[in-house]
Amino acid sequence: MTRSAEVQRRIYALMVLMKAADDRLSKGIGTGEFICVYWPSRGQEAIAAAMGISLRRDDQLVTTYRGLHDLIGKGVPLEEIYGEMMGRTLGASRGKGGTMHIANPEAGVMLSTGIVGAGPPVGVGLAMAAKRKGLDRVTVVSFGVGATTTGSFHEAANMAALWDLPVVFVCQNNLYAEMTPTRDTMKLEHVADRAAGYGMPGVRVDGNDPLAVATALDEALNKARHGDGPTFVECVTFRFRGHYFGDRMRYIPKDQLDSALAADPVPRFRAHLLDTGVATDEELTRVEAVAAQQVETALQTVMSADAPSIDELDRDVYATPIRFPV
Amino acid sequence: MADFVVRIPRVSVAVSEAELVELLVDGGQHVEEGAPIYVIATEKVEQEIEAGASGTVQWTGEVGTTYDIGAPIGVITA
Repeated sequence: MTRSAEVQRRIYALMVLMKAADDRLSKGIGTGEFICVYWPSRGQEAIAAAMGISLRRDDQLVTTYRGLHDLIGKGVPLEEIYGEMMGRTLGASRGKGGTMHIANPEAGVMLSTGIVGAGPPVGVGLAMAAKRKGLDRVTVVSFGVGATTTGSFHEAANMAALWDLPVVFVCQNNLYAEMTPTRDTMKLEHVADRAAGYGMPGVRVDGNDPLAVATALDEALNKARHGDGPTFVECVTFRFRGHYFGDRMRYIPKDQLDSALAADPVPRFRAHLLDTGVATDEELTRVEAVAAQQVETALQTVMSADAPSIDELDRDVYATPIRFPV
Repeated sequence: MADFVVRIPRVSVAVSEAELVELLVDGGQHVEEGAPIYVIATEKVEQEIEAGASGTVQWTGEVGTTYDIGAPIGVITA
């Protein structure tokens, strides 16, 4: 499918915003400017940008702790993301949840989970609710390769297929489950082959090509939206900064990292836009400057915001905290 | 631009303190953002830390001392 120039430029704008947001965190933590824990998504931007243009606002997303890019793609304001990561009142969960627990139902982000494999059953529940309510929204569950080896994934995939639920399983296969290479955790070479075991289609795409990802997603979303059940989409990619920030990545062979860096989706898509005449170098440079400025503004806003007060502690935790000991 | 306070970074998830083992730039010298300016040791691993801003660096931290994460050890004045 051919995408309009406008859509392609939107994809690039999302990708550079995701990259700039990740780069700024890395720089700020690394130089001691601020303290925060995060699981970098640098390198996986093409997948999240494709989700950003393919999903409707009312479609729902369940992501993971490595979710900075996914959250930006789905439209969560940067201040809410950074604010949550740094424990400030303007965070998506008012600073109580941290990097692992960012949700923004208005943007359709229902959950970020800190537990590998915990997202798929929740996504299936959301999809079941949409079906019961007669809504045509789709739930996308985003997770890594490690999640597909958990029992919870098996239960979720089986039920979603059995009941034709409107859910799309998006596996961002960055070739590692935390510090373990995929080949040490599964006999299959292609994760998408797992889908056949549940009776749902499994497709494998170049996760560094946002247009390829968007094409696969559109097909899966359309199918789910029309009652034809789930699809498993494997997007093959890489993460450049390891499992968590500060990960020295000694377990990654140098040649593998080098070739992954050479396939960096951001400069690759930039070159594509220039080669195909979709945008000029000047236009793209401006997009990059705007993204960097947007990130800096969000960061400064967050840094000057307060940490949550003690009164915030029980809020949103129990609906009616009656007879609870104070 | 405001002064950039040089603080001990949290370079890894489980780290709570770090030893300042070497200053790579003398106090009063100019540093460029992104250039390594000092070395810390955590969990028996040494790591160079980059300048978070460009300007003249002045040190308040002492080599050989262990600091909590976030402790100020110097300032970079633009």
